[in-house]
Amino acid sequence: MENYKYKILVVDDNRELVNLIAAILKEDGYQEVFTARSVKEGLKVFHKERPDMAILDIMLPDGDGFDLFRRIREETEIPILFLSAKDEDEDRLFGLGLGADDYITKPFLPKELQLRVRAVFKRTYRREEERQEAVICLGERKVLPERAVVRFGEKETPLTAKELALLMKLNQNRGRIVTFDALCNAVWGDFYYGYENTLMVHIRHLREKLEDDPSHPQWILTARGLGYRIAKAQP
Amino acid sequence: MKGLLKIIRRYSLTAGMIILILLALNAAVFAGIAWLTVCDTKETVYGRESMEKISRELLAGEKDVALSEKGEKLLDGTAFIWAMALDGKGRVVWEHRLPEEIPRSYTLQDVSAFSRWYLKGYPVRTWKSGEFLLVFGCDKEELARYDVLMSIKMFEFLPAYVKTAIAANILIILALIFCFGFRFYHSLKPVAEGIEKLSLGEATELPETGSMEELAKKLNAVSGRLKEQQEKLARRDEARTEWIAGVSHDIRTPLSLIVGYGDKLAEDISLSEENRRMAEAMKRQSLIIRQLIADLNLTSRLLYEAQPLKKKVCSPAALLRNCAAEVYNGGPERLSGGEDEEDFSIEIIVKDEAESLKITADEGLLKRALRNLIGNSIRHNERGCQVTVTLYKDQSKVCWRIEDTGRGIPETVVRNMDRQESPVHIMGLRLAAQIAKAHGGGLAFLNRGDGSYDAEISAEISEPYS
Repeated sequence: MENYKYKILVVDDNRELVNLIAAILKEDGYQEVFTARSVKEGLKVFHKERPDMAILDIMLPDGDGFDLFRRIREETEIPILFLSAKDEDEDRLFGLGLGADDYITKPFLPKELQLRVRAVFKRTYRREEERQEAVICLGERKVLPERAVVRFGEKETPLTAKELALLMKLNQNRGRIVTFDALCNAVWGDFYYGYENTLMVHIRHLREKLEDDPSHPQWILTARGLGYRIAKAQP
Repeated sequence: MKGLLKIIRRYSLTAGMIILILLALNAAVFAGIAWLTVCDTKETVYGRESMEKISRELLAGEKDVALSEKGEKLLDGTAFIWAMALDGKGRVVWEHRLPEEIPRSYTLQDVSAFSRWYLKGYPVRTWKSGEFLLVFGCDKEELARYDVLMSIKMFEFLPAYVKTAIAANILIILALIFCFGFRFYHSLKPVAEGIEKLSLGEATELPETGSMEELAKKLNAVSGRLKEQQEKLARRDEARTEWIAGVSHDIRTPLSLIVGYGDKLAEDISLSEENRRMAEAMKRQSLIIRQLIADLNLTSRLLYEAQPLKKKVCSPAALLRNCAAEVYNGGPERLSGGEDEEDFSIEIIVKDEAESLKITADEGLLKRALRNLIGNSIRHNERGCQVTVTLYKDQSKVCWRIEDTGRGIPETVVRNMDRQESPVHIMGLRLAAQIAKAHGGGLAFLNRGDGSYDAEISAEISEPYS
């Protein structure tokens, strides 16, 4: 991702912290990070620099981050993240309810901030065609979700709707364990109880279509007693 | 309100008993008086037996009429104060202590009048003795006479009338008891409701009128004091919670800087291995502080009931799997875990009866409790261990048993769970216990037999999911 092209505004009343955040973001390739320490200053910088993303603290000396959020949203739809020392659910839900793209609680790991910012940029600015052409690569096999087929060399094997839904859910959380419950819920909805065996059958079919040796899977891995995960990279 | 109904039932029964006892007493007294009256000698001598005996002693000679000596004695033995005998023409032919004002001759009308009424104010009785009429005078001051005349119809109706009257009286008495009982119940009801509210810790305000005025006033005063105390306590608890929330909020920003710079230093390859290791330790310990302040904040909110439970229907099995997956996927526990934490594994055992179970619970809080317990096993076993979490149903509770192949929970921790000031760090366990308690369950420690313990957390299965 070409991070250097994005401009980010960081508003927090703690000088040390805004400097640290700016350093963390610059380290991840964002060259234009602007900082402000109040609502007033934040608006001024926003109007001057027109950033592609804003990271706002909630408690600011001359108002709160929610107000600043509304003022920015009156003018633009750029992604906005809240960064707050308040971890109460009410504040988190209020922030996200306003339409914020993420809510990060202090203290945070630099890597966590970088990943979240990157994920928000990816969600917001990924081109539509990229989205449509999203291909799931599993070694030499490629899954084309739009057509629901697995391509292996010249050969194309169709996937059923349920198999595709399972694969999409696993791919959304690639590298992470997705529980039986979350998978069943994604395919059969809330009343999924009793579908565990059916789920195993679908996973077996998926392995037959995606693995060289379905008995010793390399891509769709079992987390015993918990669920499944798709391996992140070539095993 | 059951207590009030009991009081009213007892009141009605007591009232009924009192009336029955009174009626029985009255009947006994009446019977006693009647008996005494009958046994009274004086009364007996006014009777027809004396008069008949005396009449037999009245001797009629050719010229005059006299009473035998025996007759005199009999007469003196009675309560009659005077006596006379009239012949067929109404003349007095014999007299005994006859007062002056009493006439010595009578017409038929006179005789008819005094025989049913009075003679010159004296109540008299008459007795036919041969061709004479004996007239006995009684003491004016002692006796009164009433001539009673009753129709036969009325006389025949009398027993039925008495029965009806008694039945009607009993019905009226019962109706009155019920009526007064209801009124009593009605006036006591608000008081009983007020007491019930007070027992639940709620405020009450009763109308201070009627027979319960004094009681209502006192209850209102108690309620006022209770409310005042509750408000004071709530204010104190709120201030404590706010204070802790404020402190935890203020710590977070400087902690962000420590974590952030610690991370940068730990990654800085220009630093020596030793310095990078120290920076890494700083970062890791700061993340533990982050977890501690989050736990402290939640524990104080749960303790002072400032944390509303966001209950919804959820599956304990799905919740457990989700929690274990989060730990594997690198949730908050992993971030603050030890260096060699990769060597752990979590085995999930869900008993058959627990797989389909649903409970109403705050999923986030229960997950936090489970994460704390699983996280403890991982954190305190630096060389790695296998954590086994067994989910099962125990009567009306659902239980998660957390066991590990590592060192387990030491006895000092278990001993200090209930102490205010603990020499060991147990906030995570206390938080798990509080969360379980808020869900109608608890945190139990199971002795392994080697001086260490496993933990078991439970939650109540609320209806209709049991």
